Amino acid sequence: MSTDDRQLVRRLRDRDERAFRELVAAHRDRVYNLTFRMLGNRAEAEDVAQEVFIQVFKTIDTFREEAKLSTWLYRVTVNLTKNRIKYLARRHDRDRDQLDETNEAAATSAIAAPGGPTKRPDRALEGAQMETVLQDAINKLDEDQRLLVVLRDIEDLSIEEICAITNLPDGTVKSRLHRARLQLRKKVTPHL
Amino acid sequence: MSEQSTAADDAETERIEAMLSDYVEGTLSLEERKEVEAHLARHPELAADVEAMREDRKKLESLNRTPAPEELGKKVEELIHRRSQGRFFGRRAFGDRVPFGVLAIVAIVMAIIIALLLRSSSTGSLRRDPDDKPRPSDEARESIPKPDRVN
Repeated sequence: MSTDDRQLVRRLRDRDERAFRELVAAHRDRVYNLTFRMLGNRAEAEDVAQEVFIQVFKTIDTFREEAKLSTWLYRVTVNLTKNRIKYLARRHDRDRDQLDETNEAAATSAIAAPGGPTKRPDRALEGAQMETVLQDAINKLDEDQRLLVVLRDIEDLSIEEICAITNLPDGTVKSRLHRARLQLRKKVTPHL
Repeated sequence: MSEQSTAADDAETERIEAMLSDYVEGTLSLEERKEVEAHLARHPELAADVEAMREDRKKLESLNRTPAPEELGKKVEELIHRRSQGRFFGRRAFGDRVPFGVLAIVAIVMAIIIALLLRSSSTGSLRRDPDDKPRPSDEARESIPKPDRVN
């Protein structure tokens, strides 16, 4: 663990509010993106992301400093997200067949966004549609496969970090990742 | 015997799958790549999938990063404030941040300390007013002539 991380952890343990704000500012986008890609729903993703930071604030004393602070943070994120997936599945309160409206609205606004990277409208639309197809396919993977695809192919975490987050050996992560990609391929193919 | 061979097959399958994953990412050594390519040559349907997986991966990498909502940090602080019953992340408003209860206790303690200091001090004692003149003794009082009464 880096010296900066160590200092930040010490301040977090002292319940230093400024340190907590620094932690949130540094990791909020990644935590939220991970929860969003796992859950496929913005409102749920925001709710879980909030719970992640609250949990970190409450349980920072249990962090043993064997891994990087970010790895521990993502482990907390993964655990809470998996819990939420199970909870939602139990309540039958989720429709995985559709991306939420805000996602589509964001995709549409990305097409028309002024000042953004100059894209041809047809290409932008194609990109937005591809994003919808991919997210839809990700949502249909089982949660363990989804997790590996999101961590490796979207979040670009190293295999080593994924092993630390999932507590799986290197070979198992890679082998399951291959199966997950194969499943994703099967789910994407009909839409192409 | 068959159980042993099944376990060995499973291990071999996992090894090949792990290598295929690395192949898709382009992180294999030359020797390993040759081994995977020989495997793919024997399984053309898998070769097509692996090629498509590379394309999928590029698309996944280019997915838009979804930034967190602006209010996320604020909402987290509010939740912690509420759940900790005000111990953390108090509001910035002056009235909400002044701990009147604590201030009252501090004021009482300070008053007690000041009173004790004054009581024990020789110059600022509460026991005796420094302006008080010493009382004359009885003898001295007797020696003072009394004014004549005028009827």
